[in-house]
Amino acid sequence: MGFTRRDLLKFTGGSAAGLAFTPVPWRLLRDSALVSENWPGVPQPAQGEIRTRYTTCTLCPAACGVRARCVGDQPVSLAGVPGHPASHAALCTVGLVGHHLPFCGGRATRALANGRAVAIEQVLARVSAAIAQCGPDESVAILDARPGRAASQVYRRFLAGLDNGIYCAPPEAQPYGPFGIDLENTRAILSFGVPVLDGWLSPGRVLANRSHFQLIQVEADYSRTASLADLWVPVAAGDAAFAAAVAHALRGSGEDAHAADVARILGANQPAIAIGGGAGNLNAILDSVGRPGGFLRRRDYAPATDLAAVPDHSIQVLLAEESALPWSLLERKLATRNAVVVALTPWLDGYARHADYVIPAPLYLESLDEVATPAGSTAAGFSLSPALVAAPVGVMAPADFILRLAHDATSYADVLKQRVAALKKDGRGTVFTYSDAKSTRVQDIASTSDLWKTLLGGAAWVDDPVPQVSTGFPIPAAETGDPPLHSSPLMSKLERESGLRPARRYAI
Amino acid sequence: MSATQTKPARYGMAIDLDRCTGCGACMIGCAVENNVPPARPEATPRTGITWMRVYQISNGAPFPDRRAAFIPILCQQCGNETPCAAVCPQEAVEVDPATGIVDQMPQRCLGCRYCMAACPYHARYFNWWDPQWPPGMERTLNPDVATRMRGVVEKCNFCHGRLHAARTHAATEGRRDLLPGEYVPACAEACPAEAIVFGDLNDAASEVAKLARDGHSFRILERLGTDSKIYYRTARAWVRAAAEEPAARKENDRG
Repeated sequence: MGFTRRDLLKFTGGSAAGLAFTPVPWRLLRDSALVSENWPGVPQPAQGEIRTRYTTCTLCPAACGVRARCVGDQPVSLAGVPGHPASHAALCTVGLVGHHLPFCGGRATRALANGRAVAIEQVLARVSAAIAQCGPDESVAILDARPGRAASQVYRRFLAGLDNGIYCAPPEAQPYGPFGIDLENTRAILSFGVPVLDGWLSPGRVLANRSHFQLIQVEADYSRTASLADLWVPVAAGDAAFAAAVAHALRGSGEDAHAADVARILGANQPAIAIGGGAGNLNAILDSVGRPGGFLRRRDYAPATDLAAVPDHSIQVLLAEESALPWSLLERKLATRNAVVVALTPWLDGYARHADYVIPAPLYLESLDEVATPAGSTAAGFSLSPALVAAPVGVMAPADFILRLAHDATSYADVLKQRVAALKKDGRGTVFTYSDAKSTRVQDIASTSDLWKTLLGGAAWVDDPVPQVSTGFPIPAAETGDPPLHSSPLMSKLERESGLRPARRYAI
Repeated sequence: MSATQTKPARYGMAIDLDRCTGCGACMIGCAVENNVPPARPEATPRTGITWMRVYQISNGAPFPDRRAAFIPILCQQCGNETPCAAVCPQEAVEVDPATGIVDQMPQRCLGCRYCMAACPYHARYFNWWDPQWPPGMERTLNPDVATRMRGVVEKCNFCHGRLHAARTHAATEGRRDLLPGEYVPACAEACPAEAIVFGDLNDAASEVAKLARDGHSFRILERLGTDSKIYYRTARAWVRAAAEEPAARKENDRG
């Protein structure tokens, strides 16, 4: 009797049924899972020496201290620095994943002239020629995204050497001019549309003091700050009539019920401040300037030209760092014929889309950088932001480009060293070191070289307070910028997978 | 009990809802620490992976008396009749008696998702896709945490990699027990509002134990008797009412 087709089918079916009662299929399932965990498609974390390095965040003017956990030279996570004078121990969501930025698309890595790759020397020659050809009514402007830096001094020096140089900065970069906010002693904040709990100043500093102040939010939107404020006044933030009603109520007159509520809270919680474009003269009535808990003057302010105040169609050559200012505003200021725009940017999809020339700039953590006074700080400040990763070949710091344009042989690193030397020479202030959370008087640091090494290892210089004199009131300016052009792909956790909105506006 | 520990711990959290501003730093810190990949283009709140997820709720009052609160939801580390552990056919979930942490072993996971159905807190997530990062970004992965493969369930484990690192550090100093604050999950470290306090609930002197005993503290769905280790704290009655007993069929009012 032979082995028939039917026998084969019976044997196969019986074997399959029998196998199901053995551990074999379940073992295979588990083992295949183990294999699949390691197959080539599944990313494996790099292994190496774990090190802690320190730097300062340059992504916004909040100047937060950063502790980076690195595998070899590659940062794998960022965290705040406990005790940091500006940021306490916190970072915002964008700062927590700042080390992911080099892996975002749309990076500018080569100098471009009208979209074509060129040598930076060619761009230098063409821009120099364009500057030389400027007429008496045509100006050369630099848009400095982060005023107050040593790089800003480079820009100012270069423009001062020209007959028609204009130094500009976005208004939100210096929202209170020469004033800072003594948030630690403020007991009430009347905010006209400022996202106080959603990206204002340094989140660590604001939230560390949140229990000390009453927050009144005047805003028509049901924003995150409005929803969490102690009192939400659903009135348009720029409504001058409401600010006037509050002023009346503070003086004991007026009939507006909302304004009376606001005045009662402000009166019961002194010192109080008013912030935002609608604040008007409320700070004068609240007597909030020059006293603890209010606006305090600091030492380092140097005013910049507001681009909005520059005559339309007057800029012949514009060198612009990537900033929150909309391109439409810049475009209106450009000369109608043959204007030259140089974008000093790490990205191809911002100002670079409109520029004649693109100079690729390094990203945060890719090159030695600096951070000026933290936004809203009552004392001048300075930090270095040392590089943690290598920058792509071909990028150039904007300050280095301007130095070469000015035929200055010094490098940006030299400029930073000069700034540190000046700090040591002045001898004022203290240096807070990130690694041990200790503060040391500058006078007690032995030499300029030691101060440089300290700042390079992660430290923040904080100026001494200045005597307060009554010299006017803060002029309300834009207190927030737009969201950053790029952020880590992990922000999709908030935006797409949880429906949670990231910070409505970018930290200032 | 672990060989490195002399007395069992009961790690837990106290989350102050009155301090939480819903910034999402805890979610981002968690994703970075635990190698959770960016969302796929087709991912939704239902299919995405966020070991910690911040929900926004509102008091339901009409404009302009409407108010909001944010509630971070993560694995509640149930200590009693742990629902996910009870239903897992693969024994891929177990409660560590030395720490009280509910551990998930993706290598054992079959992907049946019984645990997801059993979890009353919806704090478990299924890998619908292979984990993928943009080119080069794999270099930023945390070396202490393995990536998970497609087809398995994952969830918060109180940053187990950090627990191991803290134990190793303690061992190098000749200690068998961890010091308070030596082991802190990434979400607690990242929270700029300091709304998340982590520690050993068995240590009556610890900050987290004190907060858990606070009159304003409560646990979500406490009536289920799961003995969760995540305590929430609020002085606002409507927040407590909404969080203790989520309204049926009502979508969370996300921000």
